[in-house]
Amino acid sequence: MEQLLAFRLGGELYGLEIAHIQEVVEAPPLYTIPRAPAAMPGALNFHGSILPVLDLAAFLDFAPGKRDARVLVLSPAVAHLALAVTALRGVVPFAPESLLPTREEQARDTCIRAVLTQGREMINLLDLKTLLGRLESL
Amino acid sequence: MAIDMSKYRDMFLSESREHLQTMGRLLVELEKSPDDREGLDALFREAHSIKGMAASMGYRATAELGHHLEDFLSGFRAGGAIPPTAIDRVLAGVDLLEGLIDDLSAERPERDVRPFIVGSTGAAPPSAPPAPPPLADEAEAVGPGNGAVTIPVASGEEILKIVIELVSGAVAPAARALLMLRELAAQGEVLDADPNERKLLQGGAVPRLELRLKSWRAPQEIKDLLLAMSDVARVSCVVERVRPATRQSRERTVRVRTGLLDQFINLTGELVTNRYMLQAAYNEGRDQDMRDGLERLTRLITDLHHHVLQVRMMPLASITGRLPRMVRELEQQTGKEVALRIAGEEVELDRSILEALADPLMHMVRNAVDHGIEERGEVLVSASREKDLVLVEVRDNGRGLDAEAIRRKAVGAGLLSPGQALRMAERDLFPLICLPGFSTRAEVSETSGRGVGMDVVKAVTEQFGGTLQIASERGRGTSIQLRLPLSVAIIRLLLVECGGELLALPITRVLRTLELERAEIRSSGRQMVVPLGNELVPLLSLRRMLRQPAKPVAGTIPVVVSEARGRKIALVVDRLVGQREAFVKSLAFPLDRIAGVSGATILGDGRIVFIIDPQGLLDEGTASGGRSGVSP
Repeated sequence: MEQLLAFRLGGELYGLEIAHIQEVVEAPPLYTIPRAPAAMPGALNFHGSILPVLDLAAFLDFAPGKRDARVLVLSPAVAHLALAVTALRGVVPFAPESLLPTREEQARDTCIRAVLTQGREMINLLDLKTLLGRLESL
Repeated sequence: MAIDMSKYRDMFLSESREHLQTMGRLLVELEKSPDDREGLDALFREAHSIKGMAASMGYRATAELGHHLEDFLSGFRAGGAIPPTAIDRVLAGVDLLEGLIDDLSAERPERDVRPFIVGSTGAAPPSAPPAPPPLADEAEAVGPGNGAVTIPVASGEEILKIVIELVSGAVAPAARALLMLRELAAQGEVLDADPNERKLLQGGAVPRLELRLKSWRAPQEIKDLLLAMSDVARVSCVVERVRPATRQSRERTVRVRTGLLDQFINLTGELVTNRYMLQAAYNEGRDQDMRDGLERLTRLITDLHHHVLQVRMMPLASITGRLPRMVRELEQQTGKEVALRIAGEEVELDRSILEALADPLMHMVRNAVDHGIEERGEVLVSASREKDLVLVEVRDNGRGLDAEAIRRKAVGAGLLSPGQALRMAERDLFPLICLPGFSTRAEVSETSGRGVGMDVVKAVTEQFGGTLQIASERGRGTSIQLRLPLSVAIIRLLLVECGGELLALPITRVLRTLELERAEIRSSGRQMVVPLGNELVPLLSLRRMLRQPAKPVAGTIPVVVSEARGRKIALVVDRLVGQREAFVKSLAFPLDRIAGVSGATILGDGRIVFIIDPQGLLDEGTASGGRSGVSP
């Protein structure tokens, strides 16, 4: 079994494998990045590393709303980046073989790699590769 | 061998590269004065060093070639002069050695040097001792004492794994194998053998003998020795590689003066003392001592910092070594006569700046030879200290930049309207050659046309907070000046406040700061300007450049005068906060994608301050700078 951290973006439920997450930081002070896109509300000082925070809901075009004060710091092997979400939910164990694939164009537009059904809920697994690719053209 | 040689490998690689660069430089000098005794001696010593180092590392082909070149040169040393053909040959040898170093650095087997060595006989001078003869073919079984095998180099002791297969019809295989074992024991130390000596003494069938031998001899020598013996069907002899279990990533090495290391030790000692002093003062609640202790700590840290930066400093010489050789090749290709002069090679810069500067420097010199010099001339590469900056200049006395050609080209490429081009002064035209893809040469020449262009030179310079200036005069020559900070890690920053944010500019980009009175500001068309000296400098709003809401002006207006695209600009900020030294962090993806932000620093209280680059801010979107202009 693997584990993912589930969070809400607008009205949707998303998840990210915890292997990709280094730490969840409680309400860090954010410093404005000059000329950053609107979906980048600031940067945090994470043990001396300067990490930009990407507001995932805003970046993926969900209706603007509240943001969880906590941010997800991605593993440095993935990217020097922290993610802000609408609301954090919690850790969900899952079997990799129970993931349902998504259509390719859907993956591109919504950054969803696969879908996991959890009781009556569906968790969209965040596709980091596509997400980072879209950041290339900031 | 108990010593783990991999630790020394990186050092070997970097030192060999330096020796090869020096050889290249010496050869070019010798070509001009072939009877320069000292140069010839120095060249010989370089080859000797490479041979020695390679041999002690057990890099046989490299050592062999080093030895060959050393031998080859010793003949000319005796004669006191070196002919051009021999210079070409040694240059080719240097190239081959570079290839070998590349092989070693990529952990490939060393390439074959024998064809080169065998091909030497024709070029050897009459006075030279015979070049080492080619190694015996594998088919020829050559014994060691007959002088045919030439690896006189102390090649470093290694463990050889030897497998000998005996012919099936051998009369007394055990006795034969025993003889071999004893013969090998005379060539080194037999670590283990299967079957071992005791077993062999009992006799019986011995189809094969396996053993490990610690020896100074090369595998080929051992192989030849064994093949010369009777009843041997096949021999394999390989160096046993003792590989570390995990492959370490290759670290770059620096050499540090031992004096500097001593200072580190002393500083560490003082820091330890300081710590106990602070501890005691804290325990006993002595405030004054605490304060003194902290002050002392501050000094020690400053000191430590300074020394750490010293370790990163390297002389310009570390990247100029290739230039003479490159110019020589350019001379041959173009038929031009170029005197290359290098001055200030001892000036030191941070290692990372130097590494990034190596290619741009070659490009500028190439440009100077290719586009500047007409038939004969001089190219001067110089470095000098200017306060906290290092000035690196490439100057030629050639034809100079053709302002008209640049004008035409800029219009042709759609960079300027014909009207703009006509109005533009010469000195404003020169920076255009740094735009990507800009070249005044109609045809792409073999040397300057490819690879890095002036745009890369400029980008590298600015990446480190440096500036690039071009001066040129028709018929008199061109000068390209790079002003670079001494070190990347620590730079002086000017902190400003703008839209409630604290921002920083590298002090190297700041010409001056001003508090303007409203009355000093004039308008020129739709643009606000301020007269500075005899120039009207456009006033730009940093708030607008950063897409922050505008702020009504009240009282004096704080302004930072900087430079963008070779012209002065005056940036209006909310408040000038002050200067400070800061440890600059370069930004990683995705932050590095934001134009106009060149780095960041973390203040003592943990706050992040981003460093902005006015030029970058202007380049993004606002081509004319008009949108950022302060309108009346």
